[in-house]
Amino acid sequence: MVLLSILKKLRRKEKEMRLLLVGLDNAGKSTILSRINGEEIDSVAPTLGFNIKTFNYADYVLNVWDVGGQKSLRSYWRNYFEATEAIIWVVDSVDKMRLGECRAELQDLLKEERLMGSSLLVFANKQDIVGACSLHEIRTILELDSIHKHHWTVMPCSALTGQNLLEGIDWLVNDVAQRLFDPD
Amino acid sequence: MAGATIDLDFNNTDDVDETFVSHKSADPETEQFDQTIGLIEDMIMDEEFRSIQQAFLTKYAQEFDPGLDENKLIYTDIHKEYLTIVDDFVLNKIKRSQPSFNLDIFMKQLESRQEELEGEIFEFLLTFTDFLAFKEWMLDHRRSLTLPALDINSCLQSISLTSARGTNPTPLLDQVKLDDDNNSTSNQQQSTTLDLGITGTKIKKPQDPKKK
Repeated sequence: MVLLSILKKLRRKEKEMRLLLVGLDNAGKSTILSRINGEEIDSVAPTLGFNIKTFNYADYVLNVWDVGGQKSLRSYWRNYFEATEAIIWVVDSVDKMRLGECRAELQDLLKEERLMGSSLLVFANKQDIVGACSLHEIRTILELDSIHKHHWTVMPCSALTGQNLLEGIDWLVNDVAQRLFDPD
Repeated sequence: MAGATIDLDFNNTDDVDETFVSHKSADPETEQFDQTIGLIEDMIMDEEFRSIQQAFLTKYAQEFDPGLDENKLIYTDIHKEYLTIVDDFVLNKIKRSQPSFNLDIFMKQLESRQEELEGEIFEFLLTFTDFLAFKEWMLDHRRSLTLPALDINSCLQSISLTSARGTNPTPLLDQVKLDDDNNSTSNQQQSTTLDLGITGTKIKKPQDPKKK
């Protein structure tokens, strides 16, 4: 894919961003995506493959790639790293048992060379549920403060209520835009 | 980009320049660059390329499920394989015609001349890299396999299929055989130019043992 991939970079549409939406299974990735896209969210089934949603935000066209998070699917994530400008990592804040696994997967992901330089938004999802981990807990357990090679932020959110979803996207788009389209 | 449709069966090529031969340029570098672009342009009309596409559709369309909302992971692998095939085809075609062709130089030229390259040819090439367009292309073909009588988009291929199987839908396994029979016809026409140079891909041209 030498010729075509170079061509694609040359002719890259301005103001277009590719976002990778990943995290453990049942974190709420597809629900977040549906919610942002204004779709029904009560019939979201586990993702076994991947979804692509394209929408406009501010002046930008966002292509969001939502890849299934089940353990058997995670080795396929690497097929979606190319040309990714930003990562949205979704955490199930209620699933305390798996926060360690969540940290390991996230820290592994961030070692990927093709994701170097991409901005990272961590969504601490399911904050509408009583007993959800606090932002501070998520930040500590996932060792977010050890991340130095990526611009990152963490936000509490709820795919159910819509809390902070747009704020998170807004942060991500601004961060990528400053890097890509506004080098000064 | 979502929902973009592209005409990949090349029926509407009336207004595409066939060659760049008459285009004379000032310096040799520009001339070779223009020739290379011309070779890429010719791909739209290339019978060999179309038969490669048909073989690809025949091989993989059944993996694509029109009833599924999400994408199967294998779609990505199939798309990558397709991009490799297109890329190899273009590059081999150029190298056959221009033995001194150097990809790095060509890429630098492309970069410095990209303002000149507003032509539809590059849009054409870039549609290959558009996953959603690729998926629609495969799905269109998949649907045409299920409903041969209603198919419009790939009538080129379906004419012989339909006549071979009558009006009854054929089970997929049988279709593969029919498609192979169909493709061997086009193989015969191009057996002299089958140096595809496609390496490392899983595509195999159907072989007709009777020709050996």
